[in-house]
Amino acid sequence: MNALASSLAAAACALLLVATPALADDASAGVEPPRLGFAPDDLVSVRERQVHLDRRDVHVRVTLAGTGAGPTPHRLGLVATPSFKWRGDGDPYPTRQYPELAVRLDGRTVGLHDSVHAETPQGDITAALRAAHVDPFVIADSPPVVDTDKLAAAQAQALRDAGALKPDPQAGELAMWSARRDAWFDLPARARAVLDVSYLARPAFALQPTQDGALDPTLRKACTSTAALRQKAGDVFAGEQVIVEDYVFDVAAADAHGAPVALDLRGGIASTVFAACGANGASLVGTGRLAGSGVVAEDGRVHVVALSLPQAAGQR
Amino acid sequence: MADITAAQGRLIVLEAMSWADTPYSLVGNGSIKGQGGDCSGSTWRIYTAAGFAYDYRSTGAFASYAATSGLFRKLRDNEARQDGDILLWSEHMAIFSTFTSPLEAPLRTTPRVNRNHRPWTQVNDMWTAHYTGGPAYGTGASQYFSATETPDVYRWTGPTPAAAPAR
Repeated sequence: MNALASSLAAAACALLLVATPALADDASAGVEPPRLGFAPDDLVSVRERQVHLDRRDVHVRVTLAGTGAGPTPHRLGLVATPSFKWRGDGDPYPTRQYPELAVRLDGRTVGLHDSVHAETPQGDITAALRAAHVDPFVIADSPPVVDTDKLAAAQAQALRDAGALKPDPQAGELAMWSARRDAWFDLPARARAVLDVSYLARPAFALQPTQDGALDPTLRKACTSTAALRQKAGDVFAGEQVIVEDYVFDVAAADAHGAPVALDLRGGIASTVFAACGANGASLVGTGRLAGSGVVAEDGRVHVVALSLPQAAGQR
Repeated sequence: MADITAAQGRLIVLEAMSWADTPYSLVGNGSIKGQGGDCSGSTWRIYTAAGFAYDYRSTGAFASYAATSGLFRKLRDNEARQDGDILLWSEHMAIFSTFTSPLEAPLRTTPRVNRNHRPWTQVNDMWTAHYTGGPAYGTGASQYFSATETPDVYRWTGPTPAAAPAR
């Protein structure tokens, strides 16, 4: 099992993600999506990949082959979430550990085993938090108040010495660490398995002007441009501003051999325009819904850009 | 041009108060008091209604506009904030308030409760929009709004309305 544990740790490190920049109200850099991996990763092949989005609900379906062959008796699936720290009351996505994450294998819900890592610039504090029975993801609260008066004095002091707590004159002591959740599950030995990963999308978004080409850098991720999209879905450019959402879906890079991705995306607003890169650099575009296949994944990721007109209050 | 006075800045704060409970809506210059608005749109509407009109700019474009329009001055780190100043983060803006006027004083603090049900008291220093699905326009504390960034502060230096108090 040691080899497997090492393999799992290596897979988690390979999926380790960099924290996104600061964000708040008018715009957000979004949250990195859960990344799907396997251990050992060279014994599992990805055959088919699908992404379903219905408003904020994401379902990624990956068909696997090879989970039943090879010398290693156990194989693991891994869903890695981004490392993050408390970002403030203005963060529209405070729960970056994806607590709603669910995995189904061949239609049946599988139990997830969580591996949590917490650290400060001074070092690893995972064990110190565990010993003190402090939830590492108190950092998803804002502000992240730690009731240190309920801790043993030595445990609280150890956290202070590690730079994990910051005194706050109003709230008490605040959690200053970053933490990451990796969820793993057993992959039973089968020649073919269908894996479903579900979670809520946390896309980047911004309100941008429609006129000055400001959209083009984002639209390039979907193999299109403002000029091209005007021809296909001009209504969304009717106003001075447009809400731009940038979705990233991880569809597993492991031995995928360029397996294409099928998309079925529905927006909360009927006029939402979706765009993604299709085969040979062509752009797939749909209004209200985008259903298509042959979508290109780079490094196991698919970009989808969604444009919608600003709506009056209560319509979003 | 000279800085706006604190008394003039209170006109801005009073207008911001009137936006309380306006739902969040990401609509930029389409923000409307009582109906929906975001941070850049509400700030722009509030300034304009208070008599300090400027061209709408999104949060990301505001700093360069402030630098070139001659209507705002970025405060130095050691300068004290005053009522009506704009707090600008990379992706958010809000209106600073001391909450010292009789009308505002009752709103200076907000009772909060942590996850273990322990109550504590937040001291507010701004009026702000939040985010889609978040609270409506209201009071806030800049020190908790962003844990990763300290806001720049901008003060109006443009023309003041004739009726604005000098002191």
